[in-house]
Amino acid sequence: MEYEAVIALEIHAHLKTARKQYCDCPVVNTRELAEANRYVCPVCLGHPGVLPVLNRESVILAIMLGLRLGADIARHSIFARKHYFYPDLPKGYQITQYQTPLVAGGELEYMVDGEMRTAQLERAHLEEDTAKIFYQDDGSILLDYNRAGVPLLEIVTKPVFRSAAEAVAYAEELQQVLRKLGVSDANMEEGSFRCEPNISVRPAGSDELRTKCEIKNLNSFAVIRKSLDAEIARQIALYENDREVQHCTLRWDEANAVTVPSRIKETQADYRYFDEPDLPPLVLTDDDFAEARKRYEDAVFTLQWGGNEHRFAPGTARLTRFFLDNTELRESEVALLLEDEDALRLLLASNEISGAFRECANWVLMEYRPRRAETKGNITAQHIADIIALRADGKLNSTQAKEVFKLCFERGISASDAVSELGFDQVVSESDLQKICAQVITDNEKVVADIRKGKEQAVRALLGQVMKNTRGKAKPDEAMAELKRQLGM
Amino acid sequence: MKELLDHLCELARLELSDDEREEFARKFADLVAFVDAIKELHEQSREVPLQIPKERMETAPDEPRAEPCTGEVPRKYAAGHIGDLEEGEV
Amino acid sequence: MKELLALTAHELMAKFAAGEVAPEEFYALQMRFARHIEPKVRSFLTLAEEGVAPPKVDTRKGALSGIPVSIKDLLTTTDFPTTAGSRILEGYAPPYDATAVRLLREAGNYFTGKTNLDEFGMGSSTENSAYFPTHNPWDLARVPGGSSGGSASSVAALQSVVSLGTDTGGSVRQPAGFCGVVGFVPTYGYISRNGLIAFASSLDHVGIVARDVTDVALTMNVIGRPDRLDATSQAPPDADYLAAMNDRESVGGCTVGVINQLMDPNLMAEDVLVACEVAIRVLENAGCGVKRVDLAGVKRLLPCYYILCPAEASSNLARYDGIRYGTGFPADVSRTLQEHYLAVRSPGFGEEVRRRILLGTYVLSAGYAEAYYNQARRVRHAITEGIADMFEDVDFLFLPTSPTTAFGLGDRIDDPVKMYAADICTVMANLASTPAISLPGGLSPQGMPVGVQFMAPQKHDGRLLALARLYEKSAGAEYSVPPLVAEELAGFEE
Repeated sequence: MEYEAVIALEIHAHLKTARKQYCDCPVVNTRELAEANRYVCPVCLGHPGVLPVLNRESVILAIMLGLRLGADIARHSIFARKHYFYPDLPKGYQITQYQTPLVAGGELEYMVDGEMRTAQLERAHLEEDTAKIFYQDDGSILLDYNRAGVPLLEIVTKPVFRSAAEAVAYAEELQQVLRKLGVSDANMEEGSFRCEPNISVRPAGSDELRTKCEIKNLNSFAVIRKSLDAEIARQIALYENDREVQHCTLRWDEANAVTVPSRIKETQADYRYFDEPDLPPLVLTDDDFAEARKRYEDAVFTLQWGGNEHRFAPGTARLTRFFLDNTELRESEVALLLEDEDALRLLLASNEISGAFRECANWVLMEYRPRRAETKGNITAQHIADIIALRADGKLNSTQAKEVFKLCFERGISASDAVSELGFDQVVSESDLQKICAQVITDNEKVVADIRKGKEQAVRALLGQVMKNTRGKAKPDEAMAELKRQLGM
Repeated sequence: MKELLDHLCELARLELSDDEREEFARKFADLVAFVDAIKELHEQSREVPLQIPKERMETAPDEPRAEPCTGEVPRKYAAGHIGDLEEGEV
Repeated sequence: MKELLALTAHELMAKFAAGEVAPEEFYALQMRFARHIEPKVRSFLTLAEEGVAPPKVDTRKGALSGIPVSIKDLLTTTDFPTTAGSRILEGYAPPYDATAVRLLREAGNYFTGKTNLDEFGMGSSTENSAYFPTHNPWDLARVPGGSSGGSASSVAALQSVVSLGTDTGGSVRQPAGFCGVVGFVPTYGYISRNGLIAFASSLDHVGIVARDVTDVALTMNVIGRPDRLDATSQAPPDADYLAAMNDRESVGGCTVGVINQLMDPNLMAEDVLVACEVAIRVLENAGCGVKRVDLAGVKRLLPCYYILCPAEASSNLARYDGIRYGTGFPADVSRTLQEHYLAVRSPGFGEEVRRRILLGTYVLSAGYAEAYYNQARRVRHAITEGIADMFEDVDFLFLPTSPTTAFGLGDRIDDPVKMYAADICTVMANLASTPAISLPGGLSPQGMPVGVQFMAPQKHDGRLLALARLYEKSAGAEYSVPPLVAEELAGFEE
């Protein structure tokens, strides 16, 4: 039988705030154990008598995502307590949103194999992160509460993905959207972007929803893809053998490339949600919306193209499609540019001036980006446009152009100043060229002998010498003509 | 009743000694009977109304305090082997 | 000088102002007597250290500067351990002061110590303290009420002039009534809950125990302030409760409703009803209209309360796992986590606390939450609406504070349902988030104090104090020293 996968993604993204969600501890990167438990206070440690006070910034950031997704943003929402015992959960409950998420519905376009698709979202709600657990060799654990209380946005899709590729492409797009909005750093390695797919399979074309399983602790897109593919295969194999899929949580076993059900007691999952009595309802004001709207608009990407202004909501899918449709850029090049807004802006600005898109792209991708990786540099769009013009006029050869670029990058001087500083504007006089050619012919008896024997292409070696001796300033076609004249060719 | 108590103890991470169980179960049954009166009442609304007499929360600005927090708290926390708990990782 | 011990805070402030006694002098005297009588009443879990010279205070600093205050051990304090009356927090040193404590400290108040209570506030007799029971200063064989029993007994037994308590279902008013002092809870959110160790968050109020209404108003002027650390805080920033209390016009010709269903001889002891009828006549004589009103669903009050309150308690007490503080910290890592939880929580919580955690877990658990918890929320809403409706007709409500006077130590401890019945008159205010005050309503034939209670609509705290003051004056209900305490005072050598 043919099967199809039904996948939904649950993504937890750290919101990019300075303060924790419910207390005034600073938010810090929690990868290192070195400074464990430095950024903690009675509130995020769950001491007796403490109370939460919600960070407004996380609300604004969540609204911004809601605007991006075209979702319903709840003017009135409430918080709830989700109860379970775990050492990383200081209060014995997590303060989250349950019945009334701040953001409901919405959709996100993403691209798979160059094709646009749309994912429908279920909800996005505010909550708080837990402490970080460090497992010790003896099985005990150390706890770092620096992460406890860091604002989280949980973003959940409907079960809309039919393949691992779709799910991963969506997650990659969402990551870009969050970054471009400035809502989250969305870094998987640092744990600020955590994906938990849940997945079931069913006969292709059916609309039933079968028992689903959840895969946890996936730390890269490659692993998400592999684990989903493996899990799809595992579930199909079960059905093929007339067995049932049991609801469970799985982890990814990289060494054996299989998904492994965790050993768990399912009876324990009873979260006993109820409204958080310590927080009155969150009621959004017009000011909240205005601020979120303004910051959202600021993140919209505006592009001048062919005399028209094009606006792109923060993200990459639509912009990628645009460049593929309108330029000769390859998809991999677009991806590089969209991850590097400075480079993209430079490319577009230099194209505005020069109109030579492909050449601008080459300068930006091949010269600007590697140099910028070392140091910030001083290059402007005008530099790139000028260098392209100098090349087009035959005033610089490609080696010279790169030297000019380097000087402009390092010192920010104009391209023409760079050309004169490098001496590339001094023309070699006709008599000098004659003398230099004569000298080269005298110095290279063997080559000249080869030429005389009929190996005419050896003359290029002599041309190289002439160019070298004129420090590249001779015009190659003129030098070649002079050499051939003197050699009687 | 004892089974129910065992289940609740598991959820609440509590334990009753064998001596306690009998009496606890009896008193707990009395309590359940006591609060069962609530079931006899029929409220019209299915909605669960809010409890706090404050219509909207005030939020805090995104300004972290200058570290560290006032009042000393321990800086090292540990626990034994977690075992087969299913929860964790929000 | 020892006769000063029986004065009210405002009388003492006058003495301070007149230079008749310095606050630090009085504090030293206060502590000596507190210590002297403590073995009889046992009000305190922690008494302030002896021989530590108190700092001089500027009595112009605040409405109550220099007055010694005791603090229920359910409010966090940085200078005393805070136990919540529980083994699970034995020796716990909070890293922060509760907001109400901080405000008093900043206003220049002295703290006499931390008073005994039913563990986490769960009880009506202070017998559920994990440490020892407190004795009623009027009759040492009786309970002081609870859960703020130590707060009430410390004020009645001249161990403190004022006390901060907490009230989730009557825990300030009922012991105040049992001990013959004044107990006040403001509108929900009028005193910050920051630092109040949560029992049932939506019902928890910080409350005040004092010797008269004026002292309550003065204390409110210090601690009845908004707090950015409590998102449910909603106090008006500049309210002057003393001025409001003295505004006789605000209660001129007001109407007081008497709830018929709570004046029922089947529910209330005869001595309580007699005292209430006397109080009603006092009100009439003072020019108040008295109207008999009906409260529908009195039967719902306690089941509703005893669902919501354990539900929230089961949640609030989940944090006591011995991993970050309290008993069990630092965790013994050779035990598995499960063993650790059980080893810390089972012996750490007393019987009543465990019972309420389990009841709360039950009413919130899958399959039961709708029938119990959600239903109780709807009932609470209906009760609140019912009370609001009554306040359309009347300005205040009058009711007993408790169905009986103080009962004997050990009388009810084995019957939780009977113990819960003691809360019938007090849970209303918590369920409806309204202010309420219990005042001395004379003595029973056995010589035990009877409390009478007034309730006002939400946010009418100032007016409630004005009515309470009117009653206090009209009834001549001055604070009286319990005979036993008077005897101790007589024998006390300064």
